[in-house]
Amino acid sequence: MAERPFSSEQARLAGASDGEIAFRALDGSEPAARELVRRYERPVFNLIERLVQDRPVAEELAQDAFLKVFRSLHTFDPRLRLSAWILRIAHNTALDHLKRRRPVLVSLDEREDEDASSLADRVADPGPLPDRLLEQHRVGAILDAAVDRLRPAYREVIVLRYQEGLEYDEIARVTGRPIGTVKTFIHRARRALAEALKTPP
Amino acid sequence: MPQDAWAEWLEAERTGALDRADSALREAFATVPRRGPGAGFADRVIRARRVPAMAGVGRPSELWVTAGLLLGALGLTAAPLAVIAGLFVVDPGRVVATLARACVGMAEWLNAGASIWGLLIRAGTAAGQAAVSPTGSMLLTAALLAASMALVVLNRYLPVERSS
Repeated sequence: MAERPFSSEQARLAGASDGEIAFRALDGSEPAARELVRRYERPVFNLIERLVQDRPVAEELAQDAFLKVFRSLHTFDPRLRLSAWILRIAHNTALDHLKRRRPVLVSLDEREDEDASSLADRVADPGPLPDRLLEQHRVGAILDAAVDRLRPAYREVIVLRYQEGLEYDEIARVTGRPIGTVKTFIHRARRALAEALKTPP
Repeated sequence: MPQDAWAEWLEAERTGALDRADSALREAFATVPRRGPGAGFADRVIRARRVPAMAGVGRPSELWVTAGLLLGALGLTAAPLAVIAGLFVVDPGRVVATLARACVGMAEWLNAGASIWGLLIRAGTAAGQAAVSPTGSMLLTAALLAASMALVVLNRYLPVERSS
């Protein structure tokens, strides 16, 4: 395996701060670069996949996004959060891709699903006494599916706010929207999500 | 508990308690799985990062390559046209006389017995004379340009191909 020679270094880097990782990756350290990818592969992929809704394409775009991250690491301002900076690059990469291809808009009202029952009904009727883990899994899966039914701009802010835990100003930086618009989008996205869970898909 | 958080969030949305809705939904989202890339993703990124040419392939580089290819193509198109145009400028009689002299020289040389060094000297002299003429210079420049562009393109893209 390619990782074996770096295993001890990798273990040490696992506890390092984002700033140190970024600095060392910029200095040409491959274990640091690997650690940076390992830390942010899920947030980056998750955001891109939510936007493009195509797994193989999302994987390619996520790789492109990381290569852009490495190319522009020298422009990173260490006073900011690395996660927000990387997610901004991921957002731009996904957006560039969406601009190049024909846009596919998914409406909450138009989306069809093979399951006719309401998402809320599925939660309200959890079945034959599921244990807590199973219940958590069900709740997570239902919320996950509901997020996919939102329009892309709402999907993005929901993921950034509630999955990645970004603050409003960070979401504004990632998406390039004014902070007021971000707050409005999040508010509307939450309402749309609640509607999606209450009404049959 | 996620389902409690969910119920709390829906209730907060109904009553317009925005801060409570925000925190409750964040708690409910703890159960939503984060989608991740396939196994070995980090290795693939690191491998792609190792290719030095990859780092240089940005938009400006693509523009340079495109411009090079266009210039090369224009050069190759212009070369035969320049030869044809040259025939109109140069006296056809002189062309025929030169060709005849070349044939006579070749025949004399063959009669005298060919040697590889003699052949190289004569070929070099002929190429030199051709190169100093306007048409010859133009052809040589176009050929060099096309060859350089081809090398640039190969140099940029072959490492990427090898890595993938």
